[in-house]
Amino acid sequence: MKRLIAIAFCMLSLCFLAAETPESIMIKVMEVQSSKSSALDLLLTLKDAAGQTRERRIQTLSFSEKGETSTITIFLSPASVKNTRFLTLDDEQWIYLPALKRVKRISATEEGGSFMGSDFSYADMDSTTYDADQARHTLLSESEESYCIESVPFSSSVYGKTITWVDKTTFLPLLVEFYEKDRTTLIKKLTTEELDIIDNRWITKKLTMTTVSSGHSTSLEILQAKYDLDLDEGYFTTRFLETGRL
Amino acid sequence: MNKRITKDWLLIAGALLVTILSLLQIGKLRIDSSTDAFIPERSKVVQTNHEIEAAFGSLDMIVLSLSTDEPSILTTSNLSILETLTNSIAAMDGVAFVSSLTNTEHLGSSAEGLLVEKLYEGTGEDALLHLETRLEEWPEIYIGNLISEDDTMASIIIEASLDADLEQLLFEIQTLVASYTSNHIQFSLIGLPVVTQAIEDSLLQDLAILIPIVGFLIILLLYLSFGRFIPVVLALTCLVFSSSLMVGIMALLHVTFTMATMLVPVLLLIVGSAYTIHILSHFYEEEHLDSAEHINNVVKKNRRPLLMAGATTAAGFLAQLTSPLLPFRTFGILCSLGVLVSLLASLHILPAMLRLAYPHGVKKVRNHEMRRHLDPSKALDHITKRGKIPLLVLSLVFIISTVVLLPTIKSGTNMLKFFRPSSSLVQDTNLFNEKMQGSGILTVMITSDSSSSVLSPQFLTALDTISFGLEQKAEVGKVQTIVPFIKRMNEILGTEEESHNTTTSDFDFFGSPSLTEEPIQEEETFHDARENLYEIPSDPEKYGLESEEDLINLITQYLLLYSGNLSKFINDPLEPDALLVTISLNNTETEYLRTIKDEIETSFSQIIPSSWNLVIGGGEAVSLELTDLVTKSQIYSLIGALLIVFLLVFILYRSLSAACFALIPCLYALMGIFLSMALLGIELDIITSLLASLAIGIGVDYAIHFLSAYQRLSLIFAPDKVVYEVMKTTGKAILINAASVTLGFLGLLFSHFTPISRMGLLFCISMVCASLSSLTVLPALLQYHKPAFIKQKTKETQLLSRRISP
Repeated sequence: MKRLIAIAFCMLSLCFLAAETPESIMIKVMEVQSSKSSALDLLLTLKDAAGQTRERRIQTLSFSEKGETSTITIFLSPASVKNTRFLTLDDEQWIYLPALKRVKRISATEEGGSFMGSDFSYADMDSTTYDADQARHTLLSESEESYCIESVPFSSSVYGKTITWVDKTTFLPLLVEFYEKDRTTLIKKLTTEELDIIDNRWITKKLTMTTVSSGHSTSLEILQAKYDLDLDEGYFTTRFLETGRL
Repeated sequence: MNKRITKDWLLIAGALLVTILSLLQIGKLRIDSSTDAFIPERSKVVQTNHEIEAAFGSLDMIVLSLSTDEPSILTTSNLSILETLTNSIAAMDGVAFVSSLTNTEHLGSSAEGLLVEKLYEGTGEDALLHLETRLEEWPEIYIGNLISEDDTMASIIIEASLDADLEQLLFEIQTLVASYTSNHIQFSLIGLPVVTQAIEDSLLQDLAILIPIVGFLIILLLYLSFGRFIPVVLALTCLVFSSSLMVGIMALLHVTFTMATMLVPVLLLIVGSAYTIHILSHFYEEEHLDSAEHINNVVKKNRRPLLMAGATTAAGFLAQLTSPLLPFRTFGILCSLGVLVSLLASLHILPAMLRLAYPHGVKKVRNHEMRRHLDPSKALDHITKRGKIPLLVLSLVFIISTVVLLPTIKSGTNMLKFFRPSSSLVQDTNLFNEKMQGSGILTVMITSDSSSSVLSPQFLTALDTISFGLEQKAEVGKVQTIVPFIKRMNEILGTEEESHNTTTSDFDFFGSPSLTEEPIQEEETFHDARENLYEIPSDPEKYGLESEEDLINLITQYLLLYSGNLSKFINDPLEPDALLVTISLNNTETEYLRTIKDEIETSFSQIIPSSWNLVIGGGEAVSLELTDLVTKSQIYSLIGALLIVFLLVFILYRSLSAACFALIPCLYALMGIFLSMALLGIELDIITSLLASLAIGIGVDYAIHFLSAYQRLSLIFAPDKVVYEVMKTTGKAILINAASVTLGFLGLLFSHFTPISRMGLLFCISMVCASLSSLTVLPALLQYHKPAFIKQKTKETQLLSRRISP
């Protein structure tokens, strides 16, 4: 009998050890989406409530080291902003305007501003989920396929809370709901349309952000992607931004 | 007999039950005090506003203004209040956007480029100095919009989301503001949603005041007429029944309670009182021992004349069916139905109550007080016979004055004018209009045939010129467009002196990894930093560019930096094909609105290609459209009422000349209304425009009753005695009837709303004109013309010749 109790206790302990906490789930969500470096070719398709669509294309190069991320974003379309480049070096931002052929520093934070008129904000383009130290995560429910986790950010954020449905297999978000600061009004919904495997890693190939009040939506599709590249640091300089030379 | 009593009790119990059940429905009434409730959903301006709101968000702004009697509102303590209010409002449900001095970001320049910083940093005296400097840097955006030029007023601009519960939001803002007490700051809420809500709040309150006042006047009249309380109670029971039933019907049928339909119960009290007086006066006229038999005779004798009087009144109301405005048509139907209910109550419920109240008849008959003192028969007879020339002269003066002054009557549907000039809402709005940009809004949406064309420098420069021209007008507070934002970005980013090494190649990380091999091109310095670049870049050479397309690209790249924050001006931050111009007005008089709207339409049409589209919307455009519809409605309902009444009289007498004679008092009533409106400067609005057809419907009763009596008595008396005989009976009755209706309408003078009190005044004037012309002009003309129909004796005229009141 004692032996049986001991076995049951061990099994129970193992179960507890193996069980995911909301924090560990969200850490995994952040991990599977991060990489040391990446190059992405993105197509944004904006669709208004009447069904009219507009396309925007950008490419991004990102490089992370010692917790600091550098990103360069190059606008490819529409033609009017083609070759506009945007460099983010932690808290510094620089822009190259091809029409002026000049680089300018921008001292501003536009977390809540719309990215290129899309339903994604600048903050959404960075990340749509919170890390363990950024928000209080609560497991709301769990099914065979997914976890449903509520995240309330610790510090002031664009959103009051998010609810994320996380795929148990890939740990990629399947659906994210974004709420107002009152934490009850749903503002936007991010739906995963298509998953894919690139460079042996699962990625969200296509996802759609819908603004609830207007019915306006934006689909973001990864046309091409490369991860963990040996990117030259010269890409993330104002010199490259201005001259296009490493 | 017992069966009769049981039936009477059942009828009264049923009426009381219906009254209680109807009154219980009041909570279900859906109130809509906005002008939107009047204007048809399919009208062009409503569609335009929907289109604009779909692209640019809500058009109706709420403004919370903070004004001070100190030299400047820019003190740390005042700004602290402004900041707290701004933040609290931003956190409220239903708020899409809030803007004030304390949450606005300022576009400044740094040595390296663009510096986006808080307009007010909220950290002591330095912050104040910085704020003042920044306000001076970009006055085009801040002055008149967020702060007044004299620094004594600041505003918080609140945009509600399209699905917001405005009533709740305004309540929350009002509660929040009420929690602040400052000796130096006055808070006021301004804007169309605020006015609409104020009307809605006052609507039931107004009704709660008007009904008791009108009720009191009716009680007074009934008591003066009969000198006892029982008829007062019985008549009031009938009136409350019919008015309550109509309110119940409105609630059950989900009829929106608007400024027009709210008048239904009040009007029914007034109009219905005439019918009850009619029955009661005949009941008390003769001594009798058996009320049941007596009341049967009274009802039998008076059913037809009452039905005819009711038919003409209902016809006046039904003429509103010709109106293009749904609430007017609803008002017409409800009032007509109400008149029918009032008639039925007077013919069935009132007799039942009289039978039960006087089971043994009325023993002591008293002369009616008003009738005893009112005997103008001789005077009226004298005027008719001896005063033909003065009557003619007076009539001519009346007619000519009306014709001359008629065109001076203004139409207007400005909701702010519903309130008295001394009201805080009007005074706050006037102060805001004086110090800030103005509370009236017209919006111009320009749609191009291709994306980004609205960003062409040529168009934007022309837009800037028009905006500047409009802003020079005293009545235009501000013209808001995308132009200052482009100018500001050009001013900040366009200033450079040094040469630059650049590449013109396209970048594609996936397609051309050999980017490093791109040639370097040396660019020349293309302008002087000292030059003022607060302009739309329109000269390609000045900016080192080659074409207008390059300039459009430059402007688009500027817009990219605004991160979609210009959604109030362009429908897409990069490839806009629609642009919005918001014109704030401090004068919303209809005539001025019409002029400025035409001017805007003409000037904007000149700068856009023929393939582009231009529409004008906003709250004032709705007001203008509604004014036109109200004018149209007035004309249609007036013609409709005249035609219906003409046809009714024609059918009754089978004589065209009788129908023409019957219209004479109606025309005098109309002249009285329009002349008073012109002389007193009363506008034709959503309430006063209901009046003319109503006055025709009630006014024609006097003509019919006079003609009937004249016809009947001319068969008995010599021609020179007829008028006197008519005056002795029907003449007095007409005066009493007119007095009772006039007294009832005088109660409307106590309304909170200016148009309703004016309606009361005008109706009183119209009734005086209708009754006096029936008793002077009409008999004079009858004696002069001696129309043939007077000598005809028909069953109808026999019945109609009965007096209509004591």
